[in-house]
Amino acid sequence: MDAVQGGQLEALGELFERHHRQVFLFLRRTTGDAAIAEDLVQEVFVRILKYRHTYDAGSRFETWLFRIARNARADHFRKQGPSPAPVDAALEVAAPDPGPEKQLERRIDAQQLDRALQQLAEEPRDLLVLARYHGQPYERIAETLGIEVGAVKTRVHRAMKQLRAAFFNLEDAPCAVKK
Amino acid sequence: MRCEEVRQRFAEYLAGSLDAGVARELEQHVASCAECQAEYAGVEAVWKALGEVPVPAVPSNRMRERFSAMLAAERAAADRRPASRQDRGRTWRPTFWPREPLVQMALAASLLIVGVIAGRALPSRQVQQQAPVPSREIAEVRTELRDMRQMLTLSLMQQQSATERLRGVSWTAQIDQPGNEVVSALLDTLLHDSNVNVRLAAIDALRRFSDRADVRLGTKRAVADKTSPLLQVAVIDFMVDTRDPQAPALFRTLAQDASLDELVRGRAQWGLDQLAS
Repeated sequence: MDAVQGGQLEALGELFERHHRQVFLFLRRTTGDAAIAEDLVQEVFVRILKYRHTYDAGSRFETWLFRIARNARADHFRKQGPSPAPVDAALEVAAPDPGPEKQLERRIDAQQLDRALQQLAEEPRDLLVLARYHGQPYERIAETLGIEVGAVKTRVHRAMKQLRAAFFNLEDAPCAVKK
Repeated sequence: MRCEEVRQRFAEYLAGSLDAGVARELEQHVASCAECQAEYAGVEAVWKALGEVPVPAVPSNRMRERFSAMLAAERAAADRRPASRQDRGRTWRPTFWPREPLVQMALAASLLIVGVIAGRALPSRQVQQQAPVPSREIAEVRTELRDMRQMLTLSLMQQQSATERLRGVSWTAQIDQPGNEVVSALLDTLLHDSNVNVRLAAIDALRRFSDRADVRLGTKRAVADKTSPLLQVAVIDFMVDTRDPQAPALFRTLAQDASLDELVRGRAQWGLDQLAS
């Protein structure tokens, strides 16, 4: 990134090669739409180039990268109008929860779970994707999201419960859960 | 450890990021607390299932091409030096078969109809020897086929999925002498589609109609759309390639418009250089 800041634009190619995959996967998993994710990856690298002078060399590049990705996504949906209503936190209580023991007896359909993930609000969805798929430690997630580490702990747990509730709420769909 | 504290650490435990001591403490608590045990079972099931969600395919080649185009434009802007068009390649290769079930059905039905018409129009080899197929009937089949392809293409361009719309735009290249509705649909896509990939594909597809006045007018409107610098750059290239007579005046305005993205201003200046040479 130092080289890019110094005006060596070809060094951006190296950053692209190193990071485009994880940026795409983050955006694909948090938007549920590959075409939007693809556009946004382009937007992220345009912004890196455009705002390269604002990068603080002392901070972690990945954190800055994910922040840009989140902002680009937020701007996209602001332009396109609101995304589908997220699952209300109250659903956690209201959703029919068959109880953990019964859940263990069931096989959770992975794709249905992915659909349930799309129903969560932006922050819990990002928290789960960063923690589960990007293996980010809570300290780094806290930096990316601009919240305290303690808040990440509480909110990841809450997000897991919301996801479980959203999943069982989708249960009516055919083949959602196979006994 | 209290129950609440233990539960908040389940995800970290499952990710394997807890210190060994804390992890042991958590295990001991869960083993002795029925409620936390039940809660852990639920969280673990979801955590594992998330791991089973297939990893989405990453369109690296396509993204790399677009990235290279962007970088080339940026270099051109920085150096005031023309960038090669080869660097700007922005191709996407749709597979033949659509993904939307409705479109699949429409395509299948169309193929069936074409088959039936062709079967009626083209007599068997034995009969053919006695009486040659009237060329009028073959022409009718061809017209029918073209109309169906056109109908399908227009239908694809109306789909919700950007991938299907991309496919629809690409199919326009396969239609011989497309009707006005195809050109209008491409212009509409260029100006209003919500997805920049689809809009970029539309500008490419419109190249064969560049001598039409409505296409020139549409591209002029598209280049003024500040929401996508990438599209503006692509339209500038289009106008350079097609030697649009209005391009020089337009490029001069763009190159001096401080509200525009640097990439666009640079490309407009490059366009002026190209048209002057």
